[in-house]
Amino acid sequence: MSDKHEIKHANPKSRVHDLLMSIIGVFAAVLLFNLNSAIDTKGATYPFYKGPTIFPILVLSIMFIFSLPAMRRLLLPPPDNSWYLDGKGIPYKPMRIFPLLAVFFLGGFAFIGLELSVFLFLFISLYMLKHRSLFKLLVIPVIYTIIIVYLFKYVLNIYFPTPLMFNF
Amino acid sequence: MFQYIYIIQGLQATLTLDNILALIFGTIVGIIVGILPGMGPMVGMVILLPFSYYLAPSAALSLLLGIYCGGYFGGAIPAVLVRTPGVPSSMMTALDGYPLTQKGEGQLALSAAIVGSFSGGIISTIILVTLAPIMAKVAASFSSPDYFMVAIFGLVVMVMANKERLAQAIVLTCLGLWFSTVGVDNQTLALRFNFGTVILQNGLDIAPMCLGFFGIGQSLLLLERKIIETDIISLSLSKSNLDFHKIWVVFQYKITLLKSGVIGTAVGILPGAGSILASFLSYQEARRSSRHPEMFGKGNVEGCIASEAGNNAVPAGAMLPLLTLGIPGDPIVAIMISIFIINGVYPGPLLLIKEPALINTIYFSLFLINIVAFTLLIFFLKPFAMVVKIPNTYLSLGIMVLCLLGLYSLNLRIFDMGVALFMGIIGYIMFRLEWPFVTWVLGMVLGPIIENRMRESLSLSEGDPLIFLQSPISLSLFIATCLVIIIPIIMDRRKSYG
Repeated sequence: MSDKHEIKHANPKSRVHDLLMSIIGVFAAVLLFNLNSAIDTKGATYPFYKGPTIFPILVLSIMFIFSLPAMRRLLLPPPDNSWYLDGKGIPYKPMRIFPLLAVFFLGGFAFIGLELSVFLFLFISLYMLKHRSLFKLLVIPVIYTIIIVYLFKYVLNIYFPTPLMFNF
Repeated sequence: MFQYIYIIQGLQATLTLDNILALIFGTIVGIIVGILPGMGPMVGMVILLPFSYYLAPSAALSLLLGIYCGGYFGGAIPAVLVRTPGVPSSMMTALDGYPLTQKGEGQLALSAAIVGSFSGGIISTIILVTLAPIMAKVAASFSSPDYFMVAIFGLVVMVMANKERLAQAIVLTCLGLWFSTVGVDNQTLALRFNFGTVILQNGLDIAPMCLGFFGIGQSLLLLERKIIETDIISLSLSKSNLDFHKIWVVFQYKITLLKSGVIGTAVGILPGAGSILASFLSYQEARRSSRHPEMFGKGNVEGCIASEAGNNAVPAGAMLPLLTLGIPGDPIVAIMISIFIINGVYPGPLLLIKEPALINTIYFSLFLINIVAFTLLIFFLKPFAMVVKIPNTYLSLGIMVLCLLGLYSLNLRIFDMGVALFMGIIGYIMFRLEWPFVTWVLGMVLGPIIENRMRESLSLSEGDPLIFLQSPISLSLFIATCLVIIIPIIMDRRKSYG
């Protein structure tokens, strides 16, 4: 075996970290400023230490405070900072597969049913991941779909919405 | 007599067909996910979590415990054979296991790892059985401030374990704590952060979060990478089973096995410390007390034994704070809380009194899981090791489908799948950035405990925060928390000043 493969770790000084920390910090600040509308305090009045706001205020404040250094670095980057993260490139495969998951399991689920959703997701995913043999494209998804349908519909007896189309 | 009845009931429940099947299946899945680098017991547990809800609580816990312990057994195999640890804590095993394999002593290295795991598991279970009643008695006298401080201590240990990414660990922990506040506040019934939607009124469930993070996120990552970053996998095994003579040789390292098991259990009990620390400390102790410390890292059997005994002692150790205090010290153990709660069982000091049969079932199951994993690996090592040859594409696509449908089956809500997908993207980003997002999960699990105990304590003291320092237990925990923060800072400063 080759011992020379190197594990690429994320660059701790990448500005990507600062960007994400800043987003979380801004999110916490926005929630803190809109706490009155985000928490329903119209009912009975409580002392602050008993009320529903004390814990979220503490937690969001800590989030905001600890993201401040990242915000500062994002606005005034030190000379050795760059956007370089880990050299693993753009995640093309997850970017292709993730929309398929959303389409077939969030959207298509109710329209075409469990069987077609699982089969089409696997078939299209494998095709997009450059599998071209008929066995891999058809037989494996069919076997997997049969196992899944048997497990969920007949063993666990789970209710799935009646599909609007292709109702077998 | 009273106790014997529950022991017999526990044994009967352990030996039911459902429980035995769940236990064996869980152990097999655990070994497989342990062998696959980048997966680990967490992924196995989240995949099978929705299915475990259909089982009796004892069988469900056996299933999940099987995955938990089996994962550590399996993690050592690729570490020894191809120097790629299946679980992060097996990296110490690779230090000595792989050089042994290169010297043609793969059988001995694997025997050391498997016997080490077995002994660690058995020793820690014996410690759990002995300590749990004592801990439960102590915990019964805990007041709200004490519980608050225990939970804070757990969070701080977890955050400090990720001190190289300290700011991110703190922010992610707080994000988890904030997530736990979404929905109806159970003390005042006020709606919090539901943003006018009905679906968020019930709060955010832990299952979609975990399935998203560890199931979808990890699978998306797996799509991009090979399971093993090498094309040639030499298994160095001529037979499918291990040589009994080598196993006997490893059992002669009694002191190393015992010490590592005890160290691993102690680290497991410590909230947030984790199996990597257990494996590291056990390895260091074995090296310190060895007559040939210079041989460590070059193919020393004791190194493999210590590392594996240490990390496989963690699961039983981590069960101790969960069963006696109701506080999970580890995100993997946190998942098990849902099994208890869904069956109307609440972990805590009263659990040992209210559910003695269930507790005894857990003990017996833990013993059996270690025996089953040990036996399976002795006789079927090669077929298990071949799992690393499964193409990552099939594995990741299959896991994603299983996660989403398993999640849907819990509440029959497409919304949960949406949450899991969203958390899947977040999980993928966190994996790429190497952010310690387990702190997020632990924050979410400990959030309700911390908030409720904090508000109860402040109500008792009419808002005086000094109540957290008044009882000897909470004061000791406060001091321990401060030490956990201060000691690493001082040590880092000393290192930087040379």
